[in-house]
Amino acid sequence: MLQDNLKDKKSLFETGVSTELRAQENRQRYVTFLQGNMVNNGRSETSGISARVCKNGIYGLSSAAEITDEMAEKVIKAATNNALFMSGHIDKKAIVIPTLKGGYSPVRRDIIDTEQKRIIDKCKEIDDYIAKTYPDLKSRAVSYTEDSMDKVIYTSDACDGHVTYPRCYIYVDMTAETPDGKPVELFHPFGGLGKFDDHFDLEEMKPEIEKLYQAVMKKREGIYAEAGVKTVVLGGMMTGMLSHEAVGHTTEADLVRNGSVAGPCLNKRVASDLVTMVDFAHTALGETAPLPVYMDDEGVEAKDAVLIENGILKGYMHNRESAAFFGTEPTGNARGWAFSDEPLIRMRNTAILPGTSKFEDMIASIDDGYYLVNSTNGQADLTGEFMFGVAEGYEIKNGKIGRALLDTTVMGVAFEMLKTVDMVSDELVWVSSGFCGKKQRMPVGMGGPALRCKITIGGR
Amino acid sequence: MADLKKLAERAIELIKKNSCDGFVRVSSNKKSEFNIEGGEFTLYRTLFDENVGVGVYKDTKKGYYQTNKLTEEDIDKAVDAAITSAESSQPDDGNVLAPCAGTFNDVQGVYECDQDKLFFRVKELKETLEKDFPLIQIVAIIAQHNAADYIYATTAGTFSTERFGSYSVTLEIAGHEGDKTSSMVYSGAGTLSLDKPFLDLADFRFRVDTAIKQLHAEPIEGKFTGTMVLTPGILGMALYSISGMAGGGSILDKSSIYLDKLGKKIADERINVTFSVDDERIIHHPVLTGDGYKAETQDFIKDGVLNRFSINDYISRKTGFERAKNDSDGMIVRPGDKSLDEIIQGIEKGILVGDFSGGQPAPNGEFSGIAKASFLIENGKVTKALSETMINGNFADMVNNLRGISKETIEDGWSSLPYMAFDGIVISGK
Repeated sequence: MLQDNLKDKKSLFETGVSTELRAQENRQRYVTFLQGNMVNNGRSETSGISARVCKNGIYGLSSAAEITDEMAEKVIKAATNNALFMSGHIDKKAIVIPTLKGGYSPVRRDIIDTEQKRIIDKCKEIDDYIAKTYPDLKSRAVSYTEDSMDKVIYTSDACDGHVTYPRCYIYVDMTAETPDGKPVELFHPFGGLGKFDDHFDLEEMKPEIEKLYQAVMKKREGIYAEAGVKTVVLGGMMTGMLSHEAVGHTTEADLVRNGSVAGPCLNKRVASDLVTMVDFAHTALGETAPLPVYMDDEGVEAKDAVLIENGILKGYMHNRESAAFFGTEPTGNARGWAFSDEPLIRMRNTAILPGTSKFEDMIASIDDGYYLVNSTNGQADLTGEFMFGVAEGYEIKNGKIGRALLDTTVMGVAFEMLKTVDMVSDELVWVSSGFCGKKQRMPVGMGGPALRCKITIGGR
Repeated sequence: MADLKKLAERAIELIKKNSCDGFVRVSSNKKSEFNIEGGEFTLYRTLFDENVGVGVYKDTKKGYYQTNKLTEEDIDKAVDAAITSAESSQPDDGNVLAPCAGTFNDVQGVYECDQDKLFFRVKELKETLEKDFPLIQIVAIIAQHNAADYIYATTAGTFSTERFGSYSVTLEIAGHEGDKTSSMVYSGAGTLSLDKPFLDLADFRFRVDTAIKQLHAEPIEGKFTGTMVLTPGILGMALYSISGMAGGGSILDKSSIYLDKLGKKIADERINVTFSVDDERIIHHPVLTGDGYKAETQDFIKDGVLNRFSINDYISRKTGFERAKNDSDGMIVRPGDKSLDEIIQGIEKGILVGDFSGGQPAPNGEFSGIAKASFLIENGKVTKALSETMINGNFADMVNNLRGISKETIEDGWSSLPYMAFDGIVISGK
């Protein structure tokens, strides 16, 4: 872990500007077995120091790969010069960013390393089990990935702190062959927040591995979805994707300023009154959120951002500048991926909250529709128009789950589609293995209950 | 700056001393970047970074370690970590170091950043968009200069020293009028010269026009099967999907639908796709592949016939198929003999697709997603901008249903691609 020894560098901060100094290490571990062959086996550590200086509303940033006293001085000076270069060339109407109350956010969770051999042995154990138990699969892959972040942050006019983001996953991927010889694929991630030893007991994983196998074998007999607007039940993972992609991005304050559809909708109805959505900082519904953020990279103590309350758009996610622009409090959403990256407004743990319906009743209520379980990826834009790839889905006929679907895509316009939500299940599913890709990568959590709604599905 | 050559030699000596084979990649990188967000300059950053990656082969076991620390002590640690990683690994006869590829000393591009001129071009782009295109909202412009010194060396004797620098600019815009905002439109280009305005690079003017027209986008009713015209950027994405389906893990685990198609026709005979390492329209010409072989230009699809699998040395050794001669950069697609207008004139009903927001294509080539920045084609004419429109098809089938290839191409510094039209695509609206 990084040593927290930057405090005395605060004396180098220039007066009359706002400065952040961040030392950071990103650590990655990865192993992949594909059909029993180990095709990936590596470790990497990337660390360095950066300074960001704001003058007259324009930022200068500089970074270097060495975390030393000399480099701290150099990057502070270079970032200050970059800010001066820009403010000398650009006449920008600066927003006054209020000074925040100081404080120190301590490490809540250590980053613990694991020997590569143990990681390899675990992946092999899982791979051997799948190979032996499911010989009729066309192909299988078992991949370990760990991408921990460790940051020491000092600021001129906000909090300081040492924050960590350890997470690790094992992805199990299965491929089967359709009767006409075409491959179909499904995967399941295991793991989450914390270290290797917190996860990956094979006995505990076996039921989910079996479920995955059953699902991929059903998919090999899958049918094409029928294109058009359909009544569907979105599973919790899909709802999480909806929360993140379709609504979350439009309510990031930087995108609101860029003309996102959420701009003119503040305090207006954007969803049915069954929908409440929150970007949780570190604690959700009384439990630690999947990827907790206690302080962001601008030294802002992180707090929950309520985005939609009973169907009404209530707020946005902010960094310090956007909060000043909108005349509100910053929410602690500014984070950067690498030591050299500037903090951007990023989601943390974004979820639609559970309701009161029972999942079985939701399925039983649909005569002709689809149950969409798992997504491969998703995208949305300023208009709220979104799409998700659907890797796992089923038809619903006469209130019962039927045949599996082949890969398809759903789309909609978020604030129109959310108004069609008329049932919300009482269970919350979290997903945290993915990355958001807004300029930089960033680990994010997302979640939700099952939703009954209308959505446009692609197909033949 | 660290003496990269000395450090690379030190790593190779240390690997040899431990009776292993291996390679080292050492680089020193610098970046200058101007950012505009929401129509305003927001950030100027200058970044310096270094990297070392060490790969070790020990008794057919392979390990890899990477760090961005470049002192002698860090190099020693990196070699140790890579050896430990290899020792933890599984023996596999596919793990073999590439033979000596030779000695290279290569300098390309623009190593030093002209900060003032780069700033001038970014400011000019911002001001031109504001003045000449008042309906354009600048979401983001990122203009960069990237430069690197790079050494690749192996215990087999390969020693390559490269220096490369270039500029790049990415544009994210939307149409904006009152409370109305269009979908975002993206483009990007790489260049070695700052002599012409950024707006004249790649397809930037076309993208600006698209963003404005998208303000009036509307969905279509129902669905039909028609012709899809792919703009060059999206054509590149589709062809890379096919390259992926004919490469990587799907060849190793034998799940590729192209497994028995090498040397056979997989596409219309008018389709020719090459990955080039020496075409003058491409700003960077790699010297070596990622595996350490001398990079060579190679046809991917020649006259509709699959000419190679996109596989590395490891998969080649495991499967017996020949490895790809490059890392699939520099895509060049041979243009056709008709203009885009002539192709569109022959289409009864279809869609011009500027961008695609879709699910990851299935291993069998199935794709579906939203046609973004797109327009309806009716009776030989582009009639209206579209929203909430989905397209569905199969890449493998699509390339056999070619209607035409344009003679116009777009060069963005990384590829040269025409427009292509394909029949048999399901296009559906609300």
